[in-house]
Amino acid sequence: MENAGKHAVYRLKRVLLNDKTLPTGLPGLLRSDLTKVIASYFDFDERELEIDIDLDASGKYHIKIFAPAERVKNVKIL
Amino acid sequence: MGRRIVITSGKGGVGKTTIVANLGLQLAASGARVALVDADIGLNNLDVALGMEHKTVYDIGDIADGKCRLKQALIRDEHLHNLYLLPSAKVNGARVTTQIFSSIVNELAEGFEFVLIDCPAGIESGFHRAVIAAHEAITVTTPHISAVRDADKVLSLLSTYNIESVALAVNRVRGDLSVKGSMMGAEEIAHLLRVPLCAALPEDDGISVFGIADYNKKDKTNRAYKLFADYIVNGGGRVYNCERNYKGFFYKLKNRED
Repeated sequence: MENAGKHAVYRLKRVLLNDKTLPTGLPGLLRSDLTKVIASYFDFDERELEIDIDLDASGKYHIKIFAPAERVKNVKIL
Repeated sequence: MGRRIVITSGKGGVGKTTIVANLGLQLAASGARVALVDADIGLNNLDVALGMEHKTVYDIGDIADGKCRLKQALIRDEHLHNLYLLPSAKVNGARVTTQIFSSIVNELAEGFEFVLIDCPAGIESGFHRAVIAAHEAITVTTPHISAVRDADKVLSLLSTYNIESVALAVNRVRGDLSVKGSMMGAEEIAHLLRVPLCAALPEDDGISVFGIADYNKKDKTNRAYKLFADYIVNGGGRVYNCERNYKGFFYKLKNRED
């Protein structure tokens, strides 16, 4: 009985991790917003944009973005 | 403008209504003007928790139908005259639209320092109606995996609403079990859910039987609710330590197993 608490924490962590799903449509929305933002600073081909969303064991999201760009745009920096 | 706080959980039976009633009593006992709103249409029980079920003349459904004004539907507590209840409608929740409910809560917030909204269980239309009307949220759970799991889902949902602050209240904590490691503690649960802990409320047979605590008594439940009310008023502070009575030499001596 004394380790039941530790076991419950372990089970709960597993349950919470398994339950973590991205809302429907989020990847698409994220892609669309990122394309707009990156395109305002760089000349890049949006077809080459890659977005990777991973979940680690502690439940944190790791978002990796890969966007090869040809050149920087002429941007006014105030 | 008063503070509009929704008390929600996802899972039913974790003690939302009990917490709304007892927190409301403590806040009112400290001098604040408090309105309690039962947003659970159809399975309402806040009136019963407060012992006011025989005093209901009008309810929120009657306000929505235009049969009465808000003031006429409010029931004043007979001991704490700065505590009021707005009872829920018993049937046909569809007529209390999200817009009507929000406007009623806003009107209450003009005359009360705290408006506590007792949210129905689940995450459907009743939940949405209650949360839309609030600016702050307290998510209630118990130290059981299924309850914490549902609280986690509610916390994710709350992040999509215009809620300024979210905190966690862990109810029915067994300090005697968590000190031995047999049950999860309140702080541990808050840490796992990554949300501030605003209250740890001990398991209490008196609450299970009577529903509300005697706010004048100096017992563990009242101490816990007093700290809870202080946390809400001050925007932070100490949380009751449910394990305090189960530590120390004399407790271990008294409860040793020969």
